[in-house]
Amino acid sequence: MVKKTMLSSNAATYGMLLLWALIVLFPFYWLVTTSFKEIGDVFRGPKYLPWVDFTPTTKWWYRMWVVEGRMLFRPLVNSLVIATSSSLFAVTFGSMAAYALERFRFKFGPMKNRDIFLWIVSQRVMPPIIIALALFVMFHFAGLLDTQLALIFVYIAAHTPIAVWMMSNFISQLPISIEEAALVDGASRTQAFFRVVLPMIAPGIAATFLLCFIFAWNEFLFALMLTGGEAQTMPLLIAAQHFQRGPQWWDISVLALITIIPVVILVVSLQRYFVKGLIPIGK
Amino acid sequence: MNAKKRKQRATEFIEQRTGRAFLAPTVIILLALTLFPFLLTIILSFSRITFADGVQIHFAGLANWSRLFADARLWNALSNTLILVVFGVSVQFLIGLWLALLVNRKIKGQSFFKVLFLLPMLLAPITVGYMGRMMFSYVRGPINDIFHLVGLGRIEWLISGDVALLTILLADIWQWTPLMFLMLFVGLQAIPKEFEEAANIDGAVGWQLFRHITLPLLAPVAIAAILFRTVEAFKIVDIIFIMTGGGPGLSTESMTLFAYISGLRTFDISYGSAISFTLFIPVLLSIGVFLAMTRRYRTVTFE
Amino acid sequence: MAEVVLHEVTKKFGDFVAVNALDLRVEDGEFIVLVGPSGCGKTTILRMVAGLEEVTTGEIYIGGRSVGNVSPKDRNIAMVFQNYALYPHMNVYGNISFGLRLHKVPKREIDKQVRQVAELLGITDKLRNKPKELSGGERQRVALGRAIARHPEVFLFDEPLSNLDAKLRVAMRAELQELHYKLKTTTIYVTHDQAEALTLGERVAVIKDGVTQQYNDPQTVYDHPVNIFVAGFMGSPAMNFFPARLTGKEGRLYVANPGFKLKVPQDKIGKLEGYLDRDVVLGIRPENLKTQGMAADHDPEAILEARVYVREHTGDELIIHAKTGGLELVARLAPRTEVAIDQRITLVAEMESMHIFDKDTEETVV
Repeated sequence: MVKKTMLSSNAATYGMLLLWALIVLFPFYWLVTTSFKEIGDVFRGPKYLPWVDFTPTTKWWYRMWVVEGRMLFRPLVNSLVIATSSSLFAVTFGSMAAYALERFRFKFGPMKNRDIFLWIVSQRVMPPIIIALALFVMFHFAGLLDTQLALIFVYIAAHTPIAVWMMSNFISQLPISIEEAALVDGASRTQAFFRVVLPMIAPGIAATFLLCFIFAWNEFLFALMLTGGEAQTMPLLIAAQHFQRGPQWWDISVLALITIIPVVILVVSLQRYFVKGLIPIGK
Repeated sequence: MNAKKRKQRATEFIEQRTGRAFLAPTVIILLALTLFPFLLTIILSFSRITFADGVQIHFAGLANWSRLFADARLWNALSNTLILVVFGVSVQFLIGLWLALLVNRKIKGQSFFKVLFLLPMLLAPITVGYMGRMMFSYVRGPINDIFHLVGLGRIEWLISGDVALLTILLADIWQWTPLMFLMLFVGLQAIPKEFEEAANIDGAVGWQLFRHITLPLLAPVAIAAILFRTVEAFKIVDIIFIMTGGGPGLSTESMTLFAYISGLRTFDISYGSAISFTLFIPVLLSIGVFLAMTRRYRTVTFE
Repeated sequence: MAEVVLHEVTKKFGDFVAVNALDLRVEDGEFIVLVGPSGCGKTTILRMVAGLEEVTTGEIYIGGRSVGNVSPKDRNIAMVFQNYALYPHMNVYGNISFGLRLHKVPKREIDKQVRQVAELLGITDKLRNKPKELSGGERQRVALGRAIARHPEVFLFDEPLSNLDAKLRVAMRAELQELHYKLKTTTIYVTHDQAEALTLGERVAVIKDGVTQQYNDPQTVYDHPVNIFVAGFMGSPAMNFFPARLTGKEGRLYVANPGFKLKVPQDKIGKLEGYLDRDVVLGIRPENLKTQGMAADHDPEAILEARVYVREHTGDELIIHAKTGGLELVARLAPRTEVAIDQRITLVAEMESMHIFDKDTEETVV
């Protein structure tokens, strides 16, 4: 790249980037420090630096894990189970659909591949609230309210379109000749899919799983409307703190941080795959 | 072999049986858990549900609808949502673009910045709501503290009906600019260097380079990013739920929140269904208008 | 025996007929080349033999068996693709051994085969590398190795050399010939490069619009093309075509147009009966137009004059483009011929090697 395009110097560039970095990091910083503050320190006006403005304490963390562990346990497990299983299914169904759409010519009445693809992807356009109430009614009559299964089903339906979109990106870049070579080499179609295609799209699968997991892990509306005490997820637990006990920022911060950590770990370890998958297909 | 024949060949690769089997799970689950509830919502919006002797559903014609369109609360929620969408997406786009251009300039620490800028996106919007509540707190929030220190005075971020929507907007921008940044950054990276180099030789630098080369080539990605973020923005509810609960008064109530409150807090499910369905209209309209406006810029081929 | 027979094979894509009632027979151990311009159907034919493309009507036999609905994996063939189609997630060893592993060949045997093949192709030191770490030429060898290791009845090549740079291409051509000499497997090779076809094939099938135009050994196709298409396609620079009229008097026949008048050799007059005083197409290859110094005793009535407008030095030849009477021609001259642009030059036409084509049917008369 040629230097000196729009701005006069590298210093200005760094300056602006650091400014935004600060804007990004400060709320996180606040969250972290708040989880270590005494009640008094929180209510006596904003305190910025540990050991300078206030004395940090680990008691809230201790309490959350050890004392109130039971409160934490169920939502954590629920979130893990729901997010992981729904994402696995979403990625599987999505990859299969994307593969079929790339390798076979469908025709259902006037609908051809492109139309089917657009229909699937356009499900994301619909605001969830539109079907949330109807789902409430449906699950009520099915006796599935407040179960992990309900959310798993809903998330699969909500996130499979994302998976189809992303995997389509990946699969369309695979030269079909490699699969043909596998056929000529003696593989059946199934063998070709599992031994040749799948390894090639593995990065795409990782990225897609990550995205679906994040969406499911952080989701609030459906969880709020379709569950009660049994299938409570982490976001609900966080929200519940507020409404049940008043703004206990220290506890809430601890919970929020506990909720963030799995996601951050996943992202940092898989981040190179993440970027590749988001290149949009031209419409 | 010309491209058309190649495409035809590719689409006959697997048999019909396999193709249908592979597509089936997705279609089935979408039909069952998306299309069906959607139709149900429409039906519910024309009904009235009573909980007298168990749950009963009665046909109510246009009752819900006439009530809805006369309801000032609808227009309030609609305008709040539109403000959040329009201003939110534009600001996110501008900042995201700026950041993407900066980070694209092969500076040291590029990966560091990339990962760092992604962080807000990874949070649950609920959490962002809380962070917002803490930080924008009138008395105890650091933001007012800093404002006070630099002489700007304390602002009633979450307390004043006039400012609250802005506060939500700020939190939304904070959380979602990363997504714009990411998509635009990837788009910038996909532009072959040769275009810039040729333009440089021709004498185009700085703003000219951006306007005539970078921007047109980035257009398809930018349009996709804006579209994607706009669609998501219409759904806003989590942040509002925690930061203001729709208040003060109704000044920050979005369409989704309005539908939720009507549907599950006051248990007027059919009214809530009507509200939800109404949200669909501005979403589709915006997409339609936007796509029509940008039709020219959407395809770019690097030949 | 691994002969390949195509019997009235037709392939349609919707309404488009890619291959039209084609008959072709490749003998066991023969190396034939399918050549033709892009889109002529040669690759489609290859893919039908491989089983990657369904035959609309007609039959294909490999080694006497009808392979109509047999899937590729059971046809005992191997294919080398234009872009090599190597498995990116496997190393060279894995790529070559994949087919063997699929057929559940015992591990020790696989190892022996792979090493043998690697040795043959000179890639033994690359066995642990992944395809993305290899150069174009090396990848091509791996693709070859993958095909050879399976010991198939038939090799199918789909323009395997077109992604290589010129020098490498020439070197690989020689290697492929050597390989064929050693392995003697029935081979069908597809290319759009007529030079490749002539150098590699024991027999060449020139294809146009899904129909075989001519199927002979290279020299015959070159010296005795059956129609204008084959004549113009094979050979580079391409044959010169001139519209002309056959005129004659006193038992002598001339082919004439505004640019020149050339005498037809006596032995060819017989076949041209019926074309007297008619318009025909005259074909003369560039190497059959020589300067007077180069041509030994020549017929004074077989000369023409032209004005040179382009000169191309190739090191071992001088190729000139010239115009005569509004017609353009190309000639191959000796490298050190002295001729300048815009200069008038006198050329001798070697009429024994000329061709006359029927203007309407485009078939060769002589």
